[in-house]
Amino acid sequence: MYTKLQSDFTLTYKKQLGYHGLTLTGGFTTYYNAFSEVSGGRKQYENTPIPNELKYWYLSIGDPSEATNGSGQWETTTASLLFRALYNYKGKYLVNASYRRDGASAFAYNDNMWENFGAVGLAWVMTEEKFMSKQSVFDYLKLKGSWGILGSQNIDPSWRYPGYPEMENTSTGIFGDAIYPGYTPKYLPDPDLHWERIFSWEVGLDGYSLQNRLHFEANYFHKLTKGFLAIVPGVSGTVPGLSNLGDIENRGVELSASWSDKVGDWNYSISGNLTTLKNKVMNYDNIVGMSRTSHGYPIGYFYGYKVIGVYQTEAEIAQSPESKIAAVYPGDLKFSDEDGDGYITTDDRTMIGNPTPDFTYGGTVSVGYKDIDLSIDVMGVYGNEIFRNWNRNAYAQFNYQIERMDRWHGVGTSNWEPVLNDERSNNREISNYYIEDGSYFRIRNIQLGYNFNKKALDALHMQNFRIYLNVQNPFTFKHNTGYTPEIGGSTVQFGVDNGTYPIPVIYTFGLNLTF
Amino acid sequence: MLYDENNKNKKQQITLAALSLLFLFPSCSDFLSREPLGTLTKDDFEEGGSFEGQVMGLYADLRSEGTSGLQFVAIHSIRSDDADKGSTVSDGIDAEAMFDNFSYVATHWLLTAYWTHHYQLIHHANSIISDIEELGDLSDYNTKVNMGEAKFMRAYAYFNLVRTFGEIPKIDFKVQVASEANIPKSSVDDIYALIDADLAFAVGALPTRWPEEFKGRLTSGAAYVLQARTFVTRQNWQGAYTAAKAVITSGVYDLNTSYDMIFREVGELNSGSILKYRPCIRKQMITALRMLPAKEYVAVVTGIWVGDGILHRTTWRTALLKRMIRVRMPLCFMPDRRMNHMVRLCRHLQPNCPGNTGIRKCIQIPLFVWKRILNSVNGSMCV
Repeated sequence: MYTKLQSDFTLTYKKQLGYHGLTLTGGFTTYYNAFSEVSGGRKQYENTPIPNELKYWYLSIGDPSEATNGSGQWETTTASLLFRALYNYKGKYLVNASYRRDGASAFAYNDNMWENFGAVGLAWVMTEEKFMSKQSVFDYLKLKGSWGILGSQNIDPSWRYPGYPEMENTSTGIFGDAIYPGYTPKYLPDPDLHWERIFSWEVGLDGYSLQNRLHFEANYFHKLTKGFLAIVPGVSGTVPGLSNLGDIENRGVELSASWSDKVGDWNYSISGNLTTLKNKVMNYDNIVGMSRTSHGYPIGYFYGYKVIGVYQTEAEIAQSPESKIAAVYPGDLKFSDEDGDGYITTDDRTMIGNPTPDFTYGGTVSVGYKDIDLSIDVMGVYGNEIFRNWNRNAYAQFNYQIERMDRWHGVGTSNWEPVLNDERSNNREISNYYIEDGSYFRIRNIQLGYNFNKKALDALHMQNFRIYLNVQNPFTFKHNTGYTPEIGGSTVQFGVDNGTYPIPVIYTFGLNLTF
Repeated sequence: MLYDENNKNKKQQITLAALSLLFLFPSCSDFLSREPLGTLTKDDFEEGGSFEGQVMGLYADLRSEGTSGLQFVAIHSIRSDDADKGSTVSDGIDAEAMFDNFSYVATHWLLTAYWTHHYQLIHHANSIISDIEELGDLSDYNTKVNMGEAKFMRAYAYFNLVRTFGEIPKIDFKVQVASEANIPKSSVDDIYALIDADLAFAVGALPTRWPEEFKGRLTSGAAYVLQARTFVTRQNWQGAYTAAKAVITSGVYDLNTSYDMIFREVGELNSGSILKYRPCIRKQMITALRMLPAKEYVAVVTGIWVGDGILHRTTWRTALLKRMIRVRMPLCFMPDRRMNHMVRLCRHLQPNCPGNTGIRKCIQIPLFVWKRILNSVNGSMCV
């Protein structure tokens, strides 16, 4: 049983004094979220099956000596105290200031549950100024900027009590004929677990032009997340819990524009958006498999060896820097000696890819003619890399990629595809041999619709009758070899393709009737 | 919105808000203090002062894959030719290159879990040792025994690691933050110094025998045997002699059990047995698999394909005792990388039943189901 109790108490005061407009809001909110379940089970008697009918599927039937039961329960809470002031002068200069004090049960054990946050925003509606009143290019133009500190308790939902040193009873000691419960710590709790703080500022421009047909918006944002919350695998058998790990800087530009117009019986609109994102990690270093997060680099970048070819002969191996990571033979991948010490060691690993795209974009085109309309949605990402992990292991049995036809099978046959031999562990080391281009473009939605004529509908006492045909995700143009270019992951490891399941194409035919 | 003047019900709103503020403010921190429900936390153990539950966790750690499973077999048995890789030539050929031909790859999964699970055992032991030092009373008999067990476990894990890797990080403290475990390697001598100190304590702290309900638990004899082995490894013959002599003359052990009985049910915990890993399988798990009741079965698992091509020479056998099934061999089953591989479980017909032809009825279950049973072995209490 889930329980969600949310109570918001806010008080708003508005006052207009001449040119001065003031709105004050103050309030208090609480949120309580809990879950509890009790489960039970019974098994049938050995030789007396329970009939396969719904009406017998209750806990009162079957062998009582085989009865099982269990329970699960948790509760989490948050509370916030908030104030906000909005002020404007002649609707031209806008000021917005807010303060909030947030509390979360997640940090209660560490006495870090309360934290203060706030933000200030300024905006200037330039079109309200006298000097703009004579021009007719811009119908509305606003310059805006804001700065603030926000908090986040961006915690994986499976972590209800991340600060508590929980013990697990998932093991037993067994002696003679007796069994004793064993307790081990579930994870290492962070003794100073606290709110994630996001320091952000942004400046932007927002406007309408050409008789309100063109709308455009441009923003530059900069976010510095201090003490981001994440879970990482531990060092040498430790099992760390949730922790405030380090800082991340995210910055980028958001651009969007749309145009809509009518020409006779035709109407159409076009819109597009583009967001660039650059991130950089500070004061933190961790490696999770092929993903490394370290100071001065983008989050979760791929860290491995650089392939500079395939060893063609024994002589070539003898002349090359000696490999300390695995025995190599002709046909094996040749890694670059990045640090130049004359050996291939783990120190030669370097950044071989970035799973974060340089930019993401999207767009919509819709066209209507009389009662018929058509709209197309597209989206895409550009400039990210995917780590192909689904065929890196030797023990899984599957068909080889077609590229393996061009494998090395003698001197001069390939300088990229290594030999087909599972014994050669060297070729399964993390290297840019497994890096693929993650850019893609997708037609996300196509809809063709027809609205029946109003006059005809009036006779049927209907307000609206629409039929449409819709296709979701019909086409994706991608470069990687996996099923899909959309690969998720965790905060510190993403873009690693372990055979990610693709999204489906959905065809819908629909009727909308409104009476 | 900015110019909207809507003051309707304002007074009521003020009253309501003011009232609720009055009610909620004082109890706010209480509202946010939520404790885990239905689970024990470390604080409960520290209050109770008993370390027994955590020590039982150490015995369970001995049964993890890295400490007694395939990784252990690969490193300690395949390298010494006590076991073979088995299977077809190409299957697990990279493991053969490592463990038969000694061409190592540091990132190989058969090595990494060995490392991780041994250190996990060390972390858990360190945690108990540090807790006892801080909160415990070593003049209490049980606490002293628990300390001895924790120190034995730590020495055992380090002895395996130092033989396998040579220089390794010496973590002999309770790790509070994961990064504390990221330290440079210590010399082999330093590691042995820690092992010697731990075992010197363990031989004095552990009892020579346990009562029936704890039969098979660590004894001073086990500590002496481990001590003797560490001395033999370092060619300290005199030390080995002294330690071994202490076991031989203790009067607790003998070698009267014949070899063919050692691995049978009757030979379980025989007088020659010094340390055994003893997992068990939950009866419900067996019946849940729609097998006939466990008490009529002996699960004979022959020639298990362990997924990655490594087949131990010994036949893996599980046997039933009373109401539970015990797996007496080290568990050596890998994750379900090959779902199509089956495990045979055979019904044991009573030999004295009339008409018994000695044929056993067998059923096959997929390896991943078997693995699930074994997970529950490590995972839960038996009935």
